[in-house]
Amino acid sequence: MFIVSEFEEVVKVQPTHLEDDQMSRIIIHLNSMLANKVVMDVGLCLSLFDILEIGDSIIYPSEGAYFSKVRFRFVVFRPFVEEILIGKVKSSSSDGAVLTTGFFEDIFVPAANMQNPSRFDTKDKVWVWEYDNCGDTVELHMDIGETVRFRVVSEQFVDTHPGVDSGLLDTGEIATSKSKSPYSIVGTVREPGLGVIGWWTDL
Amino acid sequence: MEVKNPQVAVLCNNEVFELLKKTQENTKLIGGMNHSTILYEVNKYLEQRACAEQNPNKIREFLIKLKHMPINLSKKEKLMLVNDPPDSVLRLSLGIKDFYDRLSEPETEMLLFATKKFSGEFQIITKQELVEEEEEEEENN
Repeated sequence: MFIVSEFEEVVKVQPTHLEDDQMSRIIIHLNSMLANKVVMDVGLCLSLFDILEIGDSIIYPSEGAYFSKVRFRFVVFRPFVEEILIGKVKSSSSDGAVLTTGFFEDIFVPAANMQNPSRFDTKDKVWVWEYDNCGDTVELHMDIGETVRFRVVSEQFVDTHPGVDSGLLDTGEIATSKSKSPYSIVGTVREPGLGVIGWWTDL
Repeated sequence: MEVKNPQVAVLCNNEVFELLKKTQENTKLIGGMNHSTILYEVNKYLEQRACAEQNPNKIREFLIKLKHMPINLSKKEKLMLVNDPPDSVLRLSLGIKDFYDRLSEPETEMLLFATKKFSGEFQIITKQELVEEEEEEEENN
């Protein structure tokens, strides 16, 4: 579920930090810039892995700061398609359930990917798997906060750059695009062994 | 910023867990970084997973064992076995594609025994099992 990616960035060190150690300034800059951010088609960046190369520092005319080109690697959250992951149920609706890992909350299990046959209990707002146990129907609930094992089916990156919806679209369209997260995962629990962990431990 | 290579390597949960622990300590030393929340959240997630009780030696041992088995597993399948060691045939079948076609019954047993041992389920191994295992290893060699 975690990968290492390589990036390159020109790091600017302000004159106020000139007397500080260059390495720690660069570490601070990179972590502040990338940690907990999604990079398009890469994934959710977590923390600096290592620094490969720091280029010569340049001071431009009429600037007090110095700039150095840094090649570095970052730890990124990017589960591969087909991977089995563990998450918790964050919320449920008739469309499906939203799962979270604690640091990543854009995992959606649509209604079609629930165990078969399943129904949404509108009163309790939970998904219920109507498991057929030799003629008797057993109702297995997927409550909020339950630990769930799921398979990654697909992933989606959406460019949420401010320029993308800069007022040229209709107001209605802006409203929908604003709710989109830059990186989201679609999961499934429609397989034996998947779903709430407690469903399968007694076997 | 420029993306040089979107995927240089894949890390297992244990590697990330150890790395983030170190980073958290470094953060205290250097200070001024505002990514403590994400570190804490990832750490909290990993603490509850199997990786919290693993160590690099154990993982290496397990992977060498898998290599000696007559079963060909892809890198991703091995990664999942390490990250979330299965404790039942059902869970083994989830992580391995075309499981029932690719693995015979004795192979399944062997793999399940290895993953269970890896996840520390057999704390007390009887002498007989030890002998059997040695024999198995000899056969494989």
